[in-house]
Amino acid sequence: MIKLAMTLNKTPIDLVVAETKPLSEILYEDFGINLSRVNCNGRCCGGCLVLVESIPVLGCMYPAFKLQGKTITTFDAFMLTSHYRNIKRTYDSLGLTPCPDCYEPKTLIIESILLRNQIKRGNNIDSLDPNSRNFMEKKVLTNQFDDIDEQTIADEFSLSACKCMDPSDLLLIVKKAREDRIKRHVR
Amino acid sequence: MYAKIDREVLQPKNLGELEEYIRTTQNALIWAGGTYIMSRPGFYPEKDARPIIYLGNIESFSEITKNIRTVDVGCMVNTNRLLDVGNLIFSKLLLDTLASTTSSIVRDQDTMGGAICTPGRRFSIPGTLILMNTDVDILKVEGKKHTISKMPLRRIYDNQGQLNLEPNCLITKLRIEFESSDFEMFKSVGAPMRKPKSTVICALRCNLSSGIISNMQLCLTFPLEGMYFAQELCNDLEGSQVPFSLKKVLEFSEKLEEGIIAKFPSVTPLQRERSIKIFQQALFSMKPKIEQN
Repeated sequence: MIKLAMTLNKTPIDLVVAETKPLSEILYEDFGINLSRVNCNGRCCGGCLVLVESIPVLGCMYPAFKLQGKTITTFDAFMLTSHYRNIKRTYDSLGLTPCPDCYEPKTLIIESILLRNQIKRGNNIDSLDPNSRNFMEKKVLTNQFDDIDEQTIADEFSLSACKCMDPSDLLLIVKKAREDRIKRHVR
Repeated sequence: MYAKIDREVLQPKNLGELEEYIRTTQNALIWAGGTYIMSRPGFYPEKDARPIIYLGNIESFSEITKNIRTVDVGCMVNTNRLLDVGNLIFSKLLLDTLASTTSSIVRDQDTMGGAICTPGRRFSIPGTLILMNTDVDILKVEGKKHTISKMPLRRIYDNQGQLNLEPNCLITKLRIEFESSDFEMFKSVGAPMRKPKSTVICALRCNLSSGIISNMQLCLTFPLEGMYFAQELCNDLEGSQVPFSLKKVLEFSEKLEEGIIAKFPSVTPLQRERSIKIFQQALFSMKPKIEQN
């Protein structure tokens, strides 16, 4: 067993759990947080998406021993953030909303795409450090977005098996949410 | 539902500690990204009491270094990071392979070391890396001694493409060549995790100077069966003039089918059909390249 100190939805928590217990199981069994799916036997269904250090991860593939000192945000807490409000506004303005079964995973996938696009990584060949010959990697959150590649967006949504929305609608949501984020300087 | 078995998780911070843990623990489970281990049915609550050695805290395993001919990639570098870093360096074949690996949320978690050392199942990355003449550094701990040897990635797999690495061995680094070929193609049909019995992953590369095929390499990956390199077929294709006539394409396709049946009798007819169609598509699409030349 391992003693964990972590932050769950802004609340510091100490917990003793089995070392390899998946995060989705910890949230469900120890905190009663009902994710849309707890364990899909590795099918990568996206039902257990949560934010660890603001980055979406699959809870069923995140073991307890990697959670030491981490900040976990579930969908309920994410709903209180400006990033969620940005996505929700986009749903409302376009009249396109995922079905209740996949609302949480699809929203977090959209957040993941936007966040990944918003984090500019200075890690291409131009940033090769001549002294150490190591690539420098800088992660800076900016309001400048890269061009979002449509194929990449489609690939991202492969994580959610629910076919309630047309892929073109999902593309539209991502692009509109990005425009809204730039316009309103959402950070 | 609580785990009844207490597992020890060892988290070495440097190579010295890692060697010590490998030496002192019997049959420890090496944990890189953990995506494959955790995706097994019945993973939790677990019955396995083997200790875990987690490699994530060893800094040198997460480094990427560029040399004259190769990019040296630590075994704990995740797929997304390699995709970002290698964007302007690696050939299209490798970039397509990395990008095709599920979604970026999973790619953030799975590591290069884990991708090539998955026991029992083969996914897209090993086949492409073998075609790119990748070498690996293998750390071997024997008694109080340890050795780090460099060998071609292909040698860590047996003839069927199954992992053939001793328990006291560990891959620490991959040396990936970034030279491109004139024609490269990567195609994955099906869902390797969800529907492995119908999935085919194809990586192909060759040079086409003066419209003549040279250095032809082909790897067909069947997730549950293994990797098929079609060496004889590649030898037959060497020196062929493109574009191919329909008759030639059908002739080569037939040879491919015979080869697959002989090597992997358990491959499903759907996988076979998909392999042939991808291969035919590759042969036909070699045509425009010649016109450009």
